[in-house]
Amino acid sequence: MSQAISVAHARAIIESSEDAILSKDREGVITFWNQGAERLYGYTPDEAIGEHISILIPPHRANEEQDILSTILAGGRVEHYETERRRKDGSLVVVSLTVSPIRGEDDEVTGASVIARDITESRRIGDRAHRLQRLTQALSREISTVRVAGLLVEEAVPAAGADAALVGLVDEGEENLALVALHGYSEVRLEDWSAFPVAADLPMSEVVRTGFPAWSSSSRDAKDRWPDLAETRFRFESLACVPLKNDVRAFGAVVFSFREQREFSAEERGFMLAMAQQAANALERTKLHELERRARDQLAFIARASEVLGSSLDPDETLQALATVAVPQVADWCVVHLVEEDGLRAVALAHADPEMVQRAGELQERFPTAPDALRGLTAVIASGEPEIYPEITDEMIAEAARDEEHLAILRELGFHSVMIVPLATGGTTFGAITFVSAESERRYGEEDLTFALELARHAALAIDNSRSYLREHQAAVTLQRALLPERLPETPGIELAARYLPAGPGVEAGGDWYDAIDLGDGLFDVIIGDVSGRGIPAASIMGRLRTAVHAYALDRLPPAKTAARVDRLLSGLEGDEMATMLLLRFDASNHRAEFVRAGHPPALVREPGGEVVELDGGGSPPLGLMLEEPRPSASRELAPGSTVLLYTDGLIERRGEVIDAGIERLKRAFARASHDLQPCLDEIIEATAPQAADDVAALLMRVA
Amino acid sequence: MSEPAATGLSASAERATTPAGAAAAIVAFEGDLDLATVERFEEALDERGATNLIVDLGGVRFIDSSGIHALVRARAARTASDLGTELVVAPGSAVERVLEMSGLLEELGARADRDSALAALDDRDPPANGRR
Repeated sequence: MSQAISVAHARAIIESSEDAILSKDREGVITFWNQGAERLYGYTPDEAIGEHISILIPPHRANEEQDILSTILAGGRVEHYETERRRKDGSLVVVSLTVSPIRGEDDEVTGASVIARDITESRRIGDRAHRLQRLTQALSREISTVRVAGLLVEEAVPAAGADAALVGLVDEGEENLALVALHGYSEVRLEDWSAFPVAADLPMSEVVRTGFPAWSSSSRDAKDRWPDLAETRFRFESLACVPLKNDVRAFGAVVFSFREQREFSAEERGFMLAMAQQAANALERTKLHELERRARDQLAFIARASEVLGSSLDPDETLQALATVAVPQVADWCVVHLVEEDGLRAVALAHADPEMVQRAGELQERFPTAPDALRGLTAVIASGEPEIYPEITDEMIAEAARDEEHLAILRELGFHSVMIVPLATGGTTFGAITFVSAESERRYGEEDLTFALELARHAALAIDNSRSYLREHQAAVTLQRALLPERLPETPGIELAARYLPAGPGVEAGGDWYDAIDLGDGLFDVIIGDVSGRGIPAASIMGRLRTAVHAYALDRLPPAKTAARVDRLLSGLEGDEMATMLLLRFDASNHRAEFVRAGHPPALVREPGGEVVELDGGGSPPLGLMLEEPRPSASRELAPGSTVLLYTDGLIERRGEVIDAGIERLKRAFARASHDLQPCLDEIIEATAPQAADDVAALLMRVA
Repeated sequence: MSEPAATGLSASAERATTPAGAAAAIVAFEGDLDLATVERFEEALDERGATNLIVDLGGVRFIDSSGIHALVRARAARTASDLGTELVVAPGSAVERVLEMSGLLEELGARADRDSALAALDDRDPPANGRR
């Protein structure tokens, strides 16, 4: 014998080979069958030899055998051909085939040898690598947490060969796990299991606490290990729970559920851990993305809110505007309460649905302090500390309800999560803003609270500003009124009526004034004036002018001299004040009027016949300019029954027209107005004072 | 609060020379001279600094008592600093009517056009209480 091995030796090697080795003749009848073939296909040599090769071929692969056979008969070879074959028990197996021709003595092909290898496992591994890669790619495109979690469960269930999967994430309060996605649990809806405690005896809770995966091959084992599982409605035999981890900790977990009892191979465990890790990376990224977007949105919102807050001087209007911008961006509901003398008042309320606004309005009316149904409002105002209720439970609502009806309304409103932040400046809390999440099911966390506090800080400043503005405005108006005559003299010779109208909020009180003085002996002075400037300074100068004019008048100083003295007085005051004034002295003994008009529009007279004319003449520049030249005065007879109208420029001044047009309008209104003085004055003002843009003073004097 | 939206006041400046060859600046205003815009008015004059000035109110459509006061103040302050200041007010305009009614048209020495205002700057000594 040479070095060639014996046929027997070769046969022994072939017989014991791990690979399945068989041969078939030209017609496809099996002629050889080793132990490996028996292990792979389930047939013994006795059962297989003599049968046609088609016993191994599944119907959908029938044509394939013909192709292989043709290749072999033509002298070719088939290498590592991956296909499926059928076992004796009918199950399919993935195999790699290498088929070679067997030649007879005349080199003619007499049959074929087939070496088959079971590649089910390696195919699965390759398939998993492929699935993992696909998952990673898909995850990289997602920018929302919910989408990432949804994609994970959808892809992971078939990839892991599981029947169902769910994803839970630790919520902002760190105490609960919230389910964000699930797939394959036909009997469970997400809302039934929205959250459960991290401290619970559940697989997911344990995995999050420990950071290690948990594997359970049977429901009996699972119920022993996690007693709380009995209360859930998950009915599966085995489960795998793997953590979602970042560098620091497990922030969530994925549960894979299987209907059958099963063990998890090292390879399967590795695959599930790898999928979870890819998802964890994607979730970390989306969280960052969401935080950034939120920060951007919040900045934009604060900017918009600041604009709104600065748009009105009326605190109630300001707060209503704030509540309106807060919905729906920050809350589904926004209610603002202010502390007032008789308790809390809801000054602003906004909801996305106008019908609900009305509903809540009714609630406020019927249960006036109902907002403390959320427990915290009174406490927040007392302490100045904000409160946050990430989750409003039905127990909390039931506890807060006054009666059944109240409870029903509260339930209908559907509170989900609530924040109450104080409105405070200088350490004094004067109100609170309540943000309510309802149908959006937004869950407020620490970041939301920080944002709400920032918003409240802006709002409090705006309210404080408008309040102090209103206070000052009110003080100026009060001072102005206090400096005007409390009542006009009642004398037989003349009849008088006067009125002062302050400008509305948003326009500072001006320095308009009037006076009427009985000098005795049938002499009367009537005066109207306008001090330049606004607010408290103008009002106080007006007071000094009025006192001075009064004193000069009682000395019976002629009107022109009075004007000259007031001019000097005003020039001597600090600042460069200026004032206009019309002073008319009526002498009842001869019915003559002497008047001086310093920078002031002319008085009007309604003659006994009804004609309205200007009192011409007597004009000079305003007071406060220190005129060296004497001021002129003019005089005119006022027939019995004549009525004189003195007024300030608020009654004649309009944008876009010449002042003469304003005087003409005033003349017409005066001509039309009633006979009786007070209604006459009211009608004139009604007809000519355009808006509350400027303050207005007017005085009527009728000669008996 | 219901006051019509203030239309504001705009100012434009240019150089000019008086008939006698003195340098002057012309500041022309357009819009409303009122409580809301007096600050803008005063800034525009201050920007010109220490120079003879023509204040052209030809484009001013509305003036209230705050505006009048600002005119008086500006003129007084500049006169005190010995700076020539002349006003140009279009005859028959809303501004002219208000100044007239306030008895200030002559007091402020308002001129009908720029040429007469420039000429008035030359006549300034003795102190111009210019009359038309």
